[in-house]
Amino acid sequence: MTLVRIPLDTPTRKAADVTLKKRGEVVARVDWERFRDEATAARRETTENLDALVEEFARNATASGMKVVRAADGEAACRAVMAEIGESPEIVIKSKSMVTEEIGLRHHMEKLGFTVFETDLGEWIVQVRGELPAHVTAPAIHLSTAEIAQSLSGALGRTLPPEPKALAGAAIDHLAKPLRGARVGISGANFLIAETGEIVVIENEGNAYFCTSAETNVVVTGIDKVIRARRQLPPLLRVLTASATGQPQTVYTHVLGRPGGDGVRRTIVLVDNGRRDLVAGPYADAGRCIRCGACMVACPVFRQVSGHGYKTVYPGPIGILVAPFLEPQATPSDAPFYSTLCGACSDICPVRIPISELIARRREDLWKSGKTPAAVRQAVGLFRRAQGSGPSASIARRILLAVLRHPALRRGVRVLRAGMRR
Amino acid sequence: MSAPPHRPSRTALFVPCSTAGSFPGDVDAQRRLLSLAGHPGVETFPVFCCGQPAATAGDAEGARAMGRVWAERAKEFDAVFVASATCCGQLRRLLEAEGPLRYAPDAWIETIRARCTLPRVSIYLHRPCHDIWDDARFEAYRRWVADTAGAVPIDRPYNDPCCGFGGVFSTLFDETAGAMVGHRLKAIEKAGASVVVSAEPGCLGHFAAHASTLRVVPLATFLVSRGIA
Repeated sequence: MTLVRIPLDTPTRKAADVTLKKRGEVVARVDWERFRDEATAARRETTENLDALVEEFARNATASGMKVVRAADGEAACRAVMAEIGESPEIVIKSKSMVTEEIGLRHHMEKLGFTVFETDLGEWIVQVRGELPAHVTAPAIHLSTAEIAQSLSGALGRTLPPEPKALAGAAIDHLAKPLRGARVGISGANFLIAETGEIVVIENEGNAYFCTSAETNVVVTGIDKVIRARRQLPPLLRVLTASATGQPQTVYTHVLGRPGGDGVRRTIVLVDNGRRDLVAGPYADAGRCIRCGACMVACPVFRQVSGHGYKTVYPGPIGILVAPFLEPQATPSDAPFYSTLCGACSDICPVRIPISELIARRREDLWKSGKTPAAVRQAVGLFRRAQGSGPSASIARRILLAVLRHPALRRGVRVLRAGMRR
Repeated sequence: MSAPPHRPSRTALFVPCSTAGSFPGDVDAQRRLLSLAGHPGVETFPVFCCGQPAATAGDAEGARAMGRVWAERAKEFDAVFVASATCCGQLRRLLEAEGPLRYAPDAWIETIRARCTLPRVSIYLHRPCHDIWDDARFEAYRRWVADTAGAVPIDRPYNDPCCGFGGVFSTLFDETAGAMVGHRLKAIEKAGASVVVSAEPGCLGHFAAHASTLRVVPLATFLVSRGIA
């Protein structure tokens, strides 16, 4: 997080401000706290009964004519997808899905020779740039319009003006043919309804419609997306859309049930990849997350460094909690310190996850396991020594006061240490 | 049964490490304000730290041990004033009973009714993320500072909830933390304030380390500079 050039005013902050303003307008118009309570209760039911609800969903989805495949981890999930679509390379369209990012599905398919089109505009932009999404619902939140125009101009081989309408138009032109012609569509899910076996997908651009209505539709999603009942959906959708994009409702809400009439062959790959461990342990509350990204736009650190500063697919405050379970290899060991513990994430979370408090707990776990960064351990050691009496306490106090008085000293020590490591 | 021996009332001022390090001159200003508020002759509380650095680093047991040291020494006093909301909050979490712990700005607001006669000055009154006051109390404080010091506090000109200090955060990620406070300083300056004022020394030290044109002043020092004590 300190190795990149960090401007004072970031595109992320500007975009986050727009979302927060729109969110505030929706919140002011509805009985927000009631919706939050209902959404929280629904998600708590999920984390407390995950296995049973997944079982019920699988049973009902299968009875509806969908094929359900369970995948314990990312590799198994990628294999399951390939088993459904066949090994001969072809064009595949894909709508937005954080789980597919988590398991590296697109890269896996591209290695096998498939041409995969990310059809969500933001996802396509980061695909063109070879980047991870910078936010769970706004993948290109870190980019200015000028940067997007430059990237898309390079990809399309013609100069595009830095105007949102022109850029969206160019994307539609580019994606129209694969959207209409691809035989295989890969999509995600926002919720899975256990009692009916239905899949709920929300979107604004219409691309998910094409992906879910391709001849073969493979839905790749986490088991944690399951909820018990249809009646739990309205408050969840209400808080999700308001928190994610500041909309009272997204443009499209797809409820995918019994296939057949439209000729779609649908398979759903239910990915665990650490989710059961998450809800079984002390961070179970984080399993309630509905991937709205509100904690990110509210977080002062995220607003400054954007998603890529975190090095994980799931960035921001909630990423600090879920990434160690869902992508342990990618999670930096000092991730619990990518937070000022200001509490803005806990305040805004629509399903009342005490994010900041759980991050503080992660720091405690890190301390107990001896993995706290050495600089922090040394500083705390000095503070503890300074609390005592005698010459060593006096020396500790002098050192600490000197560092507090001259912040440049702190930077100097860091530079020296980095130099010694090199 | 004989009455317990009379002990003269003892009050102390706990000087947070961030005040001692970044704003040592503010200790005298705090004493003057406490004296004006009816607490003359406060002693210096003989403990260096409230335990907050250990707590935010994840060393919960270390923080509790440091809190116990603080609590043990506090028994010698009838009141220990603390001019830091975050230190106060930390101690409240650690101590079983609040005992003699007092948030110094509470004592100032409740008793000081002096008025500054100097020309009014536009200020940014910084509120820490972990303020121990609720919104209504902070608003009352804001009005009190405006009336007492002849100040015009600007409205919050940014959306970021934190200045970027975060204790251990700014220690580990000083470039990021510097950019965060830099953004805020720019917004404050653009909004027309000329002084950053706060009773929170940790945040204020972070502001001071990155401010180039704005003055950054602890609350007590600011009030004294406005002729209040």
